[in-house]
Amino acid sequence: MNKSIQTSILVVLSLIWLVQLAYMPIALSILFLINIMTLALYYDKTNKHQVYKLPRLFTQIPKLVFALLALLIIYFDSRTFLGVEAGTAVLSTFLFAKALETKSKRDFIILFNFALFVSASLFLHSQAFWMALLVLCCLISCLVGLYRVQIVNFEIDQPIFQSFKTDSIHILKFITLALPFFVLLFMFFPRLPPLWQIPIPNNKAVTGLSDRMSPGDIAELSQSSALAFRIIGNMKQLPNRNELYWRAMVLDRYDGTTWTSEFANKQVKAYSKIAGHLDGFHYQYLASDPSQQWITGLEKSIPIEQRFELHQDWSITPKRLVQRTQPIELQWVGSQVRDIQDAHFEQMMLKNNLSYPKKNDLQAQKFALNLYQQSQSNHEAYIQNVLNWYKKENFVYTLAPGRLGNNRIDEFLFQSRQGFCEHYASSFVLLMRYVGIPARVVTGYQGGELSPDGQSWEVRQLDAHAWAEVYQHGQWQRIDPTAIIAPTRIDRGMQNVMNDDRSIFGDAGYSNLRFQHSSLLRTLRVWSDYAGFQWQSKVVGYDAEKQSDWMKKLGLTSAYSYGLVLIFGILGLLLIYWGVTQFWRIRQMSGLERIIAQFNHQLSVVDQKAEAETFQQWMQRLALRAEQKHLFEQVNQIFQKIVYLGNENQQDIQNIKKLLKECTNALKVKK
Amino acid sequence: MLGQRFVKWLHLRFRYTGTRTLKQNQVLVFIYQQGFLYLVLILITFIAGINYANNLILGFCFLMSAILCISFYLSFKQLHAITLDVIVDEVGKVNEVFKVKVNLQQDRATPKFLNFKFDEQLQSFLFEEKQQSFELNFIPQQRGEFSVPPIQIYSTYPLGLVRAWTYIYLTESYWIAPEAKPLTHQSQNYSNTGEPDLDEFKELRTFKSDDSLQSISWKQAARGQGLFVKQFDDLVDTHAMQIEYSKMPSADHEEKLSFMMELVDRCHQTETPYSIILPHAQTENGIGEQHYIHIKTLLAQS
Repeated sequence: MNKSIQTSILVVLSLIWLVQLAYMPIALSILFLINIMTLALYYDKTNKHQVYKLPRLFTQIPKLVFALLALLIIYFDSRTFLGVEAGTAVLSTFLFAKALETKSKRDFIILFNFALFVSASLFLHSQAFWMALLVLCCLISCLVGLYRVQIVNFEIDQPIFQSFKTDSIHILKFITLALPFFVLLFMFFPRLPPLWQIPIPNNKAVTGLSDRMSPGDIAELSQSSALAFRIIGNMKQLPNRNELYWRAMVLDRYDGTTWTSEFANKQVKAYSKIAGHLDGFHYQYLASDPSQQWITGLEKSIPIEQRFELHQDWSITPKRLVQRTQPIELQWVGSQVRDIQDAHFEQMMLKNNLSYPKKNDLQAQKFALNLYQQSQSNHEAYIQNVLNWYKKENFVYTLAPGRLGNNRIDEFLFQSRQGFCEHYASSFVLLMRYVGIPARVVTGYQGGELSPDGQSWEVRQLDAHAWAEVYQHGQWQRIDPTAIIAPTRIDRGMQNVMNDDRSIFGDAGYSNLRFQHSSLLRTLRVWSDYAGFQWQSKVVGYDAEKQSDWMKKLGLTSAYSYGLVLIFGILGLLLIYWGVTQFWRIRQMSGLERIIAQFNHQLSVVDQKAEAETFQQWMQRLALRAEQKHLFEQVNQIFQKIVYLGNENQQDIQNIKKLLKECTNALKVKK
Repeated sequence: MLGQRFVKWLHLRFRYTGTRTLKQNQVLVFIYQQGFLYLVLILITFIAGINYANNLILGFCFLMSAILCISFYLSFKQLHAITLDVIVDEVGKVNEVFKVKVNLQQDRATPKFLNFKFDEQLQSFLFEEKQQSFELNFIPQQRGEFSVPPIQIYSTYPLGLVRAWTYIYLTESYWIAPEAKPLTHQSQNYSNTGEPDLDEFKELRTFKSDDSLQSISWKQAARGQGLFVKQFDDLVDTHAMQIEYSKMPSADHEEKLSFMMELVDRCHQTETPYSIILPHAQTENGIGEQHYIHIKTLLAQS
């Protein structure tokens, strides 16, 4: 087996291993790594002729053990062999097992082809730009492998690294040649609907929102600067930043430590139950994690597409869990709309929103009742007094508030007095409930930033927020206590707060986070997210609709137009290629060759130079057909001089040019 | 039936009639062996791309298809515009190499990865200069007429997905002379060892500067008569060798011809003029390559 093919195999396997590292069980990654290293060792030994012939059985067993072990790991990890994660892992297992038993040329070709397929399947894990780059590397290395299998018989001796470089350049050349066809196909090949149902990847959403909230448990809030979602639409229609509340869900059940959501909130809300002005600004919502199940629309929004449903708490979720790469159409109906609820349901809801653990936080309960009395049991006055109290008592907004114990509302309100949005929302809602005002916590995001091109709005994970809603005059009204304590958080956005006011990080060793939020990195992040967005919307999210937009731009609307565009596009490309090769052919000719080719071209078919003819024979033949035989004799003499004496000077070239012109005329006269 | 017609068509299209520069219609291109595997791969990725509504998998599939298309072109370019010229040995001999030399020419020295397939043999050939030649060696097993099997020249460059190929059908038939077979002892007197007897020279002539010192007649030199060179002329030389079919010591036709071949070879090596007499053909006395080929052809044809 040739060394260059061996290195190709190792490179391909290593690349695939590297890409899968993030998605495979650790045990499986280690097993694959062992596989690669064993293979490398084996190749090294065979090249040095240190391998002893073992009985067939001994060579078979390791392969079987490897495959079995890998399949066991996969099964224990995901309890199935189907589905995306397990499926790709099984495919890779087969690839690595096949690599253990490649011997013949046919094996190599099968291995590299199979590796191509495994590379394609990597896109099921992620469609990000970096993944595309890595898969392209896999593709190139597979093609280099295939290429080497072909040229190995014609051994051109080169050091391994050198040959890898030249082969890669060859392959890149081929890919460049293929690129125009690829672009044409990608843009105009009709996007067909799925042929059959397939399992969707069950990605565990690692970032983003949770359906529970437990403020006292978090000592330090680690703020991720990752993009949460992006809003595409007319940016001028967006409300001011301090009005940008992106609503995820309502949390209304509190057990003393944790807020969760009542089941009733998840019931579907019919559009008929919404009263008020319903038409508003349309926009698109593009989640950066396609498997995120909450669609955090601008408070309050309704989904336009059938695939999404609106719930009682104005949360929006997909009906079926799907990985969506396309933006979701939403309509903002504003906060002026009212819910029409049947009395029974409303009663139940209000009752839920008044309950609190009676035994906990007694000090806070007492405080609330006192303040309520001072406010003459007036709800609005009481709310105002509570907010004023927060302000007066010097509460601090910080991301590192430390942990709280069992009576956490008491501890927060009367001892620590520092926290982030969840602490304020949570304590505020309970202060309302203690005196019989229905209240609840709402989670989501607040604020965001305009993208670099001003065409979309970016909301990041660090914009995550929690606020309160209080039931007054038969409606839920938003009250954000954080706005009282840290008004800049709401008015200028979290990113700016982090930049300007370092105190919010607390005095803990938060240097990493602080570094993360330095302005240079922030700019970089914004731009990389922007590039990611362009990738997402232009490439990954390129769908039938965008395709038909293109067709309309080209002025084609019929159903056959795709076929026509493809056929004519390919023909056009072929024509261009042909033209370019002709151009290069002529460019590469020497002056003499060009003049002779021109002359030959002007002649009738009979007079043109025959394949087996030398120049001299040709001239002699032509001379017989014309009167001025000396002309052809002269041409031949100059030609011989230039070609065989090797001195191509302009004088001779001009001479021969002139003579050939005369020859053409002489031949014409004859006719 | 259809196959036969196809083969007939191939013979017609690719029969060799002289120097030929491969044009579009003389180069066939099609998907090759593992190319079909690649095709299946394209199909699977296409289905996966559609079903998962995954644009990048679809894109991968399109890129692979585009590479396949380009492979057609690149494979075709490997053969296109090569000028072929075939030179065949005029007459061969049983169990000796019969050479068919293919001269290849191209305008620019670009590497071409060619494979020559003939008679169940496969040989790779890297054609990277403007002019190179490739020799195909056949070992004929039978005396008589020999037709060179079709020669297929193909290239699976760059990825082995597509093959471009062409054929050379040499329509002429060539002749294979019998294998030389040493004569038995008693018939040794028909042969001539070619070793001149040192004393039996025919005449003396004056020494010329390029004469061998061995052939100087030292006897004359010792006598002071000057430097002379001995002109040898052994028995057979005086009468040219006549190799007669009927006198061959065998009853078998083939064996007789083999013996004759042996004698012809010896005469040719020792540059003794010779002629043969066959039942239906007869030659003049002669010597040299042309004569040798003529004799061999006669032996092959009889």
